[in-house]
Amino acid sequence: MEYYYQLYGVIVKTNFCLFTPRQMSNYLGKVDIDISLHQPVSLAECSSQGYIKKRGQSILLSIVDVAIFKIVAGKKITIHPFCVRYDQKEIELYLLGSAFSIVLHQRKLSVFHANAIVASNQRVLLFAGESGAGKSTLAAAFCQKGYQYLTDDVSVLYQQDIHWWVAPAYPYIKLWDNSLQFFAMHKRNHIPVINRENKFYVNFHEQFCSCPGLVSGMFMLNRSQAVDNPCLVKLSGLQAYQLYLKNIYRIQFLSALGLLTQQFHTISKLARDVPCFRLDVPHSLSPQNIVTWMETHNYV
Amino acid sequence: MFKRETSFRLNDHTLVSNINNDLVFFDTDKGMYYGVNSIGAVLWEHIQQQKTLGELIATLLERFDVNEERCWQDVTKVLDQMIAKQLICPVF
Repeated sequence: MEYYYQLYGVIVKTNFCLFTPRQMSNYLGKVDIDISLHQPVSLAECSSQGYIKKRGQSILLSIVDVAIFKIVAGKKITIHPFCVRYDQKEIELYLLGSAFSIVLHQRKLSVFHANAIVASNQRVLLFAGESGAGKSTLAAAFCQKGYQYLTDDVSVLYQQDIHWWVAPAYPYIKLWDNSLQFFAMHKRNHIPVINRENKFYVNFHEQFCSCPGLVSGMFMLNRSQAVDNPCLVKLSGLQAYQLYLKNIYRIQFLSALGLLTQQFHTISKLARDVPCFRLDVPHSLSPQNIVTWMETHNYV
Repeated sequence: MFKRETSFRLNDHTLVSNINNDLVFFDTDKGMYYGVNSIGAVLWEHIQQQKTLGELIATLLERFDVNEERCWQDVTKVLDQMIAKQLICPVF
């Protein structure tokens, strides 16, 4: 059985069913990445430590207790689970996270840890921020107000002509248990994220935008005790560079891939072309009120 | 110590990019980045034109309100740092 999906700007074919991306039915066009799940590896190949190794055009990525991913030249991923009774959702989590970040980097795409919201002028705003700043909760608040989004966690950017585009991912937003309350949701109605007891996949199908969007700005969401009201600060060229650099998804893989020089050129271009802002927000402000504040100031 | 006639060039393994008047140097050997603010960027603009240190100082004295001794100290300090980080090297 073969399955086809479009996500992060590429078309993938798999021999097993994925849970998060939207399936393409009766697809006959070209495939960018061929993904195949194989028999579990022999015990001899099991390793008690995770690793990433370069072997010519291939990268071997070993995730402890999960699987070995072999990622070849941006075109192919083969997966060998470590145990016989593996969990397909767990495999998918690492496939679409770490393994995909490598295959996308190999394809010379720029991968950032940020979400992407479609503003009222149809341009896309990216939101990055420290873990816990409330990026996903903010994305959900935008959805609740009727805005569309392209991705919750990972933004894949590419340049076409002079413009920067972001590719859609999949129609779920991952929310922590304590964020569900903002949206009057209950955890029993949502599927938990593997290995994250208190995190849940929340389905926002209707707000999902499945077409790439033009990027017009990058915001760093910064929860701050120093401000009583939200405040937007434009970043200098150097600060913009640092912001992009800091938010490259799985940056630790780039040197193993020999892609640091390429990344330097890409980030320089991005920092020149796409304006960056720091959005300081008081701790107590709800995600809905951040959206309202941005609307009032015509930022969105 | 540098002489007035010394000029400078970028090391072979260093790349530089200008982002809205700030500069980022990237050492491709070490995989390290160094940011330089807009004053440093003005300095770089002249270094790039292969001006000698004497010419560099003269231009800065015209452009900024600073005495020669202080300017010399500040500029050589920045150049020393850039050389120590192996971003540029003196040309004799």
